[in-house]
Amino acid sequence: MEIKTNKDRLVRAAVMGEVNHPWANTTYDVAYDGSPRIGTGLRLGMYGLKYNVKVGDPCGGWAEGEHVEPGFSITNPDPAENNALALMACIGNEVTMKTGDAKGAKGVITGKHGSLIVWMPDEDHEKVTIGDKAQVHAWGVGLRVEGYEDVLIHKCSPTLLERMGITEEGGRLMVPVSAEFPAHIMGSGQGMDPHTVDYDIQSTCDEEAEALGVDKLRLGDVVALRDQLNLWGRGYYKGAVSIGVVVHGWSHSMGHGPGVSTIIGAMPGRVETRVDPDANLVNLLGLR
Amino acid sequence: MVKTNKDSLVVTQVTARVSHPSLTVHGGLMGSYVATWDGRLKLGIGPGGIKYNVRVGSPCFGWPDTEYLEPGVALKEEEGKPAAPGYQNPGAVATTVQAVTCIGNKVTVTSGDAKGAVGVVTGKGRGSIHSHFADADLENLSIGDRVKIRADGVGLRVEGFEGDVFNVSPGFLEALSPEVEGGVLTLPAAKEIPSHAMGYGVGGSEAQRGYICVQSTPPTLVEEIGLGDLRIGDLVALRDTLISYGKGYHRGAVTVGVVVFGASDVAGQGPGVMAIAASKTGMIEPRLERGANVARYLGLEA
Repeated sequence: MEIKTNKDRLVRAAVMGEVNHPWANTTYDVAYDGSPRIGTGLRLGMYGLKYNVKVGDPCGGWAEGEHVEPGFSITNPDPAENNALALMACIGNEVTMKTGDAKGAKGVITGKHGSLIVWMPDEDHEKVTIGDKAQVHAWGVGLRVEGYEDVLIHKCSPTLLERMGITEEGGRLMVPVSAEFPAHIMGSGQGMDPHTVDYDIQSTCDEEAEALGVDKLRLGDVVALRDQLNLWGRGYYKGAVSIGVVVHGWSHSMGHGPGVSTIIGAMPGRVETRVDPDANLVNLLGLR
Repeated sequence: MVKTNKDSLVVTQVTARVSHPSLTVHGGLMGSYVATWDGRLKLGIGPGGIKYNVRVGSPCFGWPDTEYLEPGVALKEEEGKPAAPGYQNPGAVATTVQAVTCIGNKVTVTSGDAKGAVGVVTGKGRGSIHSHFADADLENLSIGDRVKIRADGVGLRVEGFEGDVFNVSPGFLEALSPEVEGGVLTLPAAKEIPSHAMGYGVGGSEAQRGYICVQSTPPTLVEEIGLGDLRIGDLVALRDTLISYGKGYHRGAVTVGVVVFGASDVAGQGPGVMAIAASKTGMIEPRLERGANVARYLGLEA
């Protein structure tokens, strides 16, 4: 059975960000194995604009890469306005360039890390300049599925929710996901706020990362987190299932790894999953 | 008893002041509250300041309207420039004070009515150093009073053990009656805690600063891992968790740490554990003793 939502009752509003610049405060930072790494100090690939990393690409394997964000990243320089951008912009929202050579070009929000992360077609992406203003058609705060008002949906546009192939079976939302992960591998971002920040599938225990398939993750994958509750905060809850989108890449900082923006949080018994290798934003949002 | 390099350590001085309490808050306009894991609001007193009736050895649970409840006297040093613009690091001096101060270090009050009073470091919490003073001295202490700390412990190594020891003075380490046999360091611990209970703090900084929260919600998890009688100051063994160059999951690793503050009702948060020893390869054997608490080893039991 297909799901119905309250999407027509949601406030649609504009929020503005700017394409931000990479930054560094040290030369090296310490990797999980005690080695100094330039890419970790620099957070190479986090912030700014990447010419060759797109949603759908592998999370790992980028030389010296650290929390690599695909496409380009936007923030608002005013802290209070940036909080509003962080809360209101949802994955799947339309983005329009308002200044610069790419003015008028349209893209899509694909995740929230420190920055909001934007995908844009290649020919437009090439024209984007750091500092350009990007306006987001924010639509999604308050989104609920009829009959599942206890299931909290965060940072997810109605567009994405409707295209995820979610069905209703026996009082549960059945969500297609590309992979599932157990609670003990969830790292940085635990105890934090699902409305504004992602949390990481730890990539810093080599053998565990391989055993759980962390090394196979792609940017944009829809994943399930087992025994994890993302309602008013995030943490362990036996039997709870959280659904999220992989928004950034691998890390060498202890306890970090590919980041997941959680989009569905529920108590046990309300969300189930089925594995679908195509459950990635590239397919769901047509990012080609 | 183990052999250490204690006679080679640089013993230095750092300073701090008695901090003011702060609230843990999530709210805005009406917002002196935190949102709990199950969607309620509560006040969160506990971080910073002087506690007259909460000390190392006190229970983690059962204090109403508290979050991050720190025992005794919480010391902070806020002088110094931030490490980098736009980067929310404490000041450079504050970072140094955090990094070099160890459990068991002597604290002497250098200003105010309690000048000359001597206390001891019992842990390090949320940007603060926790210290214990006698009740009579607590009455004389004022927020803002300055203290000096005799920082002794950085660089401490245990002969025959290839893992790390940190955040402890040589005297405190000896009080734990550690043993080394076949490369395995034995340390006391009140409880063992599995990796799936690790919450906020995973992914955090190096072992000398910060903590990992043991998640204290939901109640079913507290029951599952037997956390209900946990006390501030308890030594605990974290299984499959490594705190060294950062904090995170590592299969087979063992970290022994000290519980430095009380329970939380916020999802994914709870009593913080500051590491005192870690082995990536599991070469630490916890010696389970219910009374393994900093208060006992520092002779501060009430």
